[in-house]
Amino acid sequence: MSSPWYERLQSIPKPAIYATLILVFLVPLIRPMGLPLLMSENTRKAYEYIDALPEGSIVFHSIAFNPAVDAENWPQMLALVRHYMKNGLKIIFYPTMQEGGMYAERIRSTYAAEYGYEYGEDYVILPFKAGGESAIAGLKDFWSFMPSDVDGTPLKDLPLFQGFTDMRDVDVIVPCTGSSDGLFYVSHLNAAYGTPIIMAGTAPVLPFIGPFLASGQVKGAIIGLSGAAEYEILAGVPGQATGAMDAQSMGHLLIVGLVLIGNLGFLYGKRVNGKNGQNGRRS
Amino acid sequence: MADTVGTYLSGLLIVACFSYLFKENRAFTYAEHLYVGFAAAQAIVLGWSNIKEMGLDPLRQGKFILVIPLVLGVLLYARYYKPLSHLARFPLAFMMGAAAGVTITGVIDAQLVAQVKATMLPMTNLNNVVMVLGTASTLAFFLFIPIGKKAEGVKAANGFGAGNLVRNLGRATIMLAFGSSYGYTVMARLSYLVARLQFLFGRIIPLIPD
Repeated sequence: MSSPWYERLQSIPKPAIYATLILVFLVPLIRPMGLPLLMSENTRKAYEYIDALPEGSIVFHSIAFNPAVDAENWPQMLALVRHYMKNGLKIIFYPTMQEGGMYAERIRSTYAAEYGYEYGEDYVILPFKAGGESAIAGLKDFWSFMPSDVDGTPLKDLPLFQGFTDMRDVDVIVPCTGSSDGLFYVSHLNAAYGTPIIMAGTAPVLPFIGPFLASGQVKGAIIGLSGAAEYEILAGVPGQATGAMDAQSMGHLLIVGLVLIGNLGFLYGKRVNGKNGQNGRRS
Repeated sequence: MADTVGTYLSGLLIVACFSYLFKENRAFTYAEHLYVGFAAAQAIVLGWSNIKEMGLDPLRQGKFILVIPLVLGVLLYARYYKPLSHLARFPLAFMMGAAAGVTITGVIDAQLVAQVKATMLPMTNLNNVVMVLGTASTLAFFLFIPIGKKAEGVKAANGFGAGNLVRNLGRATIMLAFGSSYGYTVMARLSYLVARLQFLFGRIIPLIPD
């Protein structure tokens, strides 16, 4: 005998859920729907801060992510870097994860020429340094900690570093991260020099940096793929994230719908079985 | 050519991984073993290149002070040889001390003083009221003594009267924080799925428009 409908609602086969999810994602990816996107306050603050920096300001862009989370971090980084380059800002890339260097190299090989950016003059890639928090605290002693760039060229020979004394000359630090590593910059560089920080992180990072946003220690934040899409729109550099947002929104709608359906079955079952002295949950 | 082969191989492995969602199968097991093998190999290569670039190469160029961390690093393995296992405590003690030293200097100001200051807000708008009450009640939730006056016939489960109310408010705040954290995690996982689909149906089967 088949189980009643309210019990079946609580036990939809997992393969059916996954197949529906993939379908719900695919349709808007193939045929974009152009759903409106809400702008979050954190992204707007981040954009406005970067946009207000005068041409030639130095951005210290830290890369603390790897392929496991680059679905969110890479679109953020690309949108940010395009915005820096559009506004003529000088960029120092610093990978604090070993795989981070390849994203900086991707900028050098593919995107820098698009904006006429010259290596050494407009941007520089620093080498990875092992040590996590120590590798960020070490930046306070910049010249002895970081004598050369990723290619082994002494930094003092590069035009970007002419007149650069230490991290106090950096106008903003932008950690792009898949963990709470960005907070090490708050602890060591913001606390020591008051250098402003804009954070770009994966979605689960927000609860960690929320208190620092509220206290003003972090000026703005780009969070998750939605943050990347918002930034792309604000900066006028549409990319991969904007195209993915319809699919993301539809996926969230599906999940909310499934939660409601499961609860509807549970509550109805509880009501029916309650009369018979049983719990509504399926055993 | 290598790029094309790599792209198609990535596509096949993504499909093999996703196949687990329907049923465990040989393709998934193969992809899983390949992943573990590659991850272990990559960790070894990255670890060795760190030692080489930051220790051995500068040592060859005359930075003899680096002998100290290199020897300390080797001593970590002394724990596998019983007669010398006590020597492994030296590098561990050094690492603990260095980590504590590096961390404490920044944390006290940035994560304690500044955060406490940020919660001392004038109760002039709803945001501030929520922030102050949420913080205070969450801290009260972790006080393990009864709070408030005992009313007739009330058991001291969390506290008495007002104490109970404060702790319940704290618990609600914590649950809200966990809920938000969970929601953001789901959002991130879906983003990863979108990215894989963009790769599969954008680069391998070109159905997604540029």
